[in-house]
Formats: sequence, C-alpha cells, structure tokens
Amino acid sequence: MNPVAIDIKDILVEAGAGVFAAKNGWSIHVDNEPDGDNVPDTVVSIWNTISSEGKVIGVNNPTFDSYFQVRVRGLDYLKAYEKVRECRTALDRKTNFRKGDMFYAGISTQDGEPLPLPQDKKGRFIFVQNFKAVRQ
Amino acid sequence: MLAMTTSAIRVEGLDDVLEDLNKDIAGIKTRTRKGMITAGLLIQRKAQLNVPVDFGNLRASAFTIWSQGGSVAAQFEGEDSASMSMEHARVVKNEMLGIKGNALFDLAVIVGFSAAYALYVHEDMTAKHNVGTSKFLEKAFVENKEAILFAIQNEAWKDN
Repeated sequence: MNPVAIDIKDILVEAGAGVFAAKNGWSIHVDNEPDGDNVPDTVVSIWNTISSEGKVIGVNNPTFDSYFQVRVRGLDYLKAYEKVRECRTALDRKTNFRKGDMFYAGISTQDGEPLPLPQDKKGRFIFVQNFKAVRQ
Repeated sequence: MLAMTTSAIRVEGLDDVLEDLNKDIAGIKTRTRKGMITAGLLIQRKAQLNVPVDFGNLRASAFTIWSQGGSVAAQFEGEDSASMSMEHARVVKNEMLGIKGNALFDLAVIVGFSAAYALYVHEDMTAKHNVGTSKFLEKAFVENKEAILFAIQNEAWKDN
C-alpha cells in the first residue's frame, strides 16, 4: 500500500503537471520541497498529511481516508496560481480508478479556492490546496 | 455542529473531516450541550498539544465557545502579548455573535485559534518542528474521532 502522495505524484505526472524531480520546468516532489542551485523555483510538492481508517465496506475491506496537500511554489504569482488550479482540475472528483494495489473510490478537495501562504525567503509565491482520497 | 476557525479565516469544514464527524454526532439522538462542550474542550486540548512548541502564543490563543458561553481565557507572553490579547478578544467576540441566540446553533461548539498566523502554521507542511506539527487542529479531529463521539455519548447516558 503506497502512501497516497506517491500515487498522486504519478497522477500529476501523467496529467502533464510536471516531471518527477526535474532539474528545470515544473518539478514534482513527494513530502519534500527542495531548494538550492540545481532545483528550479517552480516546484509542485505533494504532502501526506493525515490518514485514518474509514468506514468498513465489507469484511477485510476497510477503506482509508487519506488526506494530502498539493503545494505549488513559483516565482510568478499567476503561473503558480494557474499550476495549483491545474493540479486541482486533474485530481478533484476523480473517481473509481485503480492506482498500484489500491482502489480509489474518489478524490475531492477539502476547501474552496487554493490558499496563498506568505512568500518564502526568496520571494517565491506559495499556494496550497488540501484533498481527501477515499481508497481501499 | 462542530466547527473550526483560525482567526478571521474560517476553515469551516476541514470539510470532509467535519462533515463525517457531524453525521456521526447527529446519529447520537440524545446528545446534550454538555456532551458537545466536553467534546469541544477535548479537541481544543488535543490540538494545543499538537501545536509546534516554538509557537507558545499560538497555543495560548486556543478557544472553545458554545451558544451560552465559552472557554476563552488566554495568557500571551512577549512583545506582541497586548496585540494578541486584543485580537483574541475580537475573534472570540465575533464567533460568539455568530452562534449566540441562533436556534440553529443551539448545540454548536466552535473550536479555534485566534492568532492571526494560525492558518499559515497549520498549512505549512515544509516547516520543521522539533515538537508539534502542522495540521495541529485537523489532526485533533481526525485522530480523536472515537474519543469525541464517546464524550458526547457518555454525557448523554449520564443525563438519562
């Protein structure tokens, strides 16, 4: 059973939102937002936040409520905002699919618009969006 | 209804977390105000334990209010203690106004943090904390769901 952020990373890569650990362009990472000389300013990071066992649908088939956050960092405010919206579109209300050994009943956003956080030390803009996945 | 608020920005909902919890609470037919308050205070205590230890004033800014009162005492320290006290009073007053005298919210309990930066600490997954964590309030809801429901149910049994 993968941490949900790993599966989400694959979905976003497949959707063209970025490339895993890319050295330029939109670089996608899991539970980490790298910084430094060889890392682009434009980063999408997916974070495992909380997980809990949900309702039992059948014997030996518990569902898991897996919460995660998509965080987008970029130098350009509008481009960062558009990227977080793109990720949201790729994930929100995606239902009934299989990823790895997990069946996903659905993914939905937890809140409305992406939340802007304060700019980081390098003046880059940050947006976050929280999601919940129900999987089995 | 249980709700969460961080400063003026409501993260009401959190959303599925509370939706699921509220459905379960609604299933407890004999729930009482006392049970809801007990549950609210439990969430506040658990959330405060989750607050990163380097944010003492954030931890102190927690409050729980209900339609006829609240647990809102807060003692802040340091240079910004005066401004945080004023902000705390303002946020609590606003939340109180929202549920006081409104029959819809008769059994409502609101748990929140008044510190203006609460939301940012809550949502910043990149921050490294030696003790405590981001998502401190959301975790208190999700990880204590059974205890929350038990607290509500237990008070209902006591009253019957």
